[in-house]
Amino acid sequence: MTELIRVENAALAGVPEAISFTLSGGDMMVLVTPKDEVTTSLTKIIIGLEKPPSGKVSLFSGDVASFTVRELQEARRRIGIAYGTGGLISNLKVWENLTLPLYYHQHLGHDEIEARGLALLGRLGYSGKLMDLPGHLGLSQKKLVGCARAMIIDPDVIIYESPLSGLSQEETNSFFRIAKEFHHEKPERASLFITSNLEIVRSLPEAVVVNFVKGRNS
Amino acid sequence: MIGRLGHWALGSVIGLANIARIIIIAFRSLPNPLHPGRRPLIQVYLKQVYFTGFESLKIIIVISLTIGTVLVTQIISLVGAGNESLFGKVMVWVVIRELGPLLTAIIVVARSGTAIATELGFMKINGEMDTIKSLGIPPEQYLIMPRIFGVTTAVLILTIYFEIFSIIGAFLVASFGWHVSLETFSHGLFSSLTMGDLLMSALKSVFFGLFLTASCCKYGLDVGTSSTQIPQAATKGVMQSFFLVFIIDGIITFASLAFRSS
Repeated sequence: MTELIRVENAALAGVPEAISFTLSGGDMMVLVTPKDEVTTSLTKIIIGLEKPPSGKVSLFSGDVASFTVRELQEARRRIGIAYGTGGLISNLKVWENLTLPLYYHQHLGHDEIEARGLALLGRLGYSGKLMDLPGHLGLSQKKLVGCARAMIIDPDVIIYESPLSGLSQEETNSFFRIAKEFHHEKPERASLFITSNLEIVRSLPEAVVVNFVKGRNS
Repeated sequence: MIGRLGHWALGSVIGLANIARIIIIAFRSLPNPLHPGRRPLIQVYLKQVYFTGFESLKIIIVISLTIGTVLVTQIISLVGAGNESLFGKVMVWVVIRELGPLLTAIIVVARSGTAIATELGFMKINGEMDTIKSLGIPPEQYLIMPRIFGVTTAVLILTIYFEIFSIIGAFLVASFGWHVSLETFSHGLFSSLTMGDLLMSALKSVFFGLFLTASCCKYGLDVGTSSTQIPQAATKGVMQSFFLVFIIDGIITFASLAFRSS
């Protein structure tokens, strides 16, 4: 299987030992971190927004440290990130947030973008207004829109950062069902769940779990 | 004392170089006409033109009409009635060459400059810059470039409105107060107005727009992790913009004078 993300001996503040893992096409993996700050930091390191003090990060078989700005942008376009807080842009309305990556990266007509966006929001159960600014939404609604934005680009890798925070039990169940469906919709798609909440392991029995809490990659 | 002065001068030069760098980045970030991303960029650009240009229009009209009436009143009080042809000439010398671009830029700095620095600072603190990067979108192209060109377009258009409404204000006062005919007023105006005056006014507007936005963007982007830095960034951005606007005004006026003399 194609190697999509490889992290080798990356030192991270708050983690006892250096982090190593490999995510290949078709993998479903859970990374358990000691706390939410580490989750955020690890997500940034994976997509090249932060550089680890030591170690190496590879995306799609290329060393992130040696990427040009354009190569890094190309790599990021293949990764969808559902942020723990939604990660929405505050001055864009819900609809603009959702469709921004499609309008920016793809030559698609308004009708097709509209159909894709509405279908995804409906599937995720978003019940808010499309023309609201993110400031007017609750955390779970923000997360749904952020998740839809990550999915709308049909990514090769989807990263779910702190997926359980702010969701009710019902929303959590629905979220995992959709995440699993989405994972299987595209062959070779990898799903990476990064969280400090071990509860996730019960909801994803089929996923490979890498626990960074115990002081060793287990 | 000399050391402090040198430190200040060095800091100013570095600050100016950073602002110039932001303008260069904005030009280099102009999208390829075939790039699909031009649609969201045009959206940000048009929003900026709307917020800076359209929403400032009312205040620009009120101030420009007032400036026109004040100028005519001052001319009358200085030289007395009977020098009607002077009205048009003074409007060209004062409003088109100087006050039009300068006052428009000052209004835009006060209104939109603070908004830009605050908005960018807030986005930086909230991690929205990282979100934009993680979507594979260069923030300088999505956030900076459309703002710089949007504000510059707005300043240019608002300057034209300012000059037109100042002249209208001046004519109305001259006409109702001292019975100056449209023919006399326009003769004085058009006999003094040259293409060079219009070009200088446009050139000033463009430079003011570029530099004031780049300055506010720079301070907005310089915000670190504390929300207390946001109002500081807005204040610094506005003060730097005022400073740059006056310096650029002086440089262009002096260069224009040197050009006319040669």
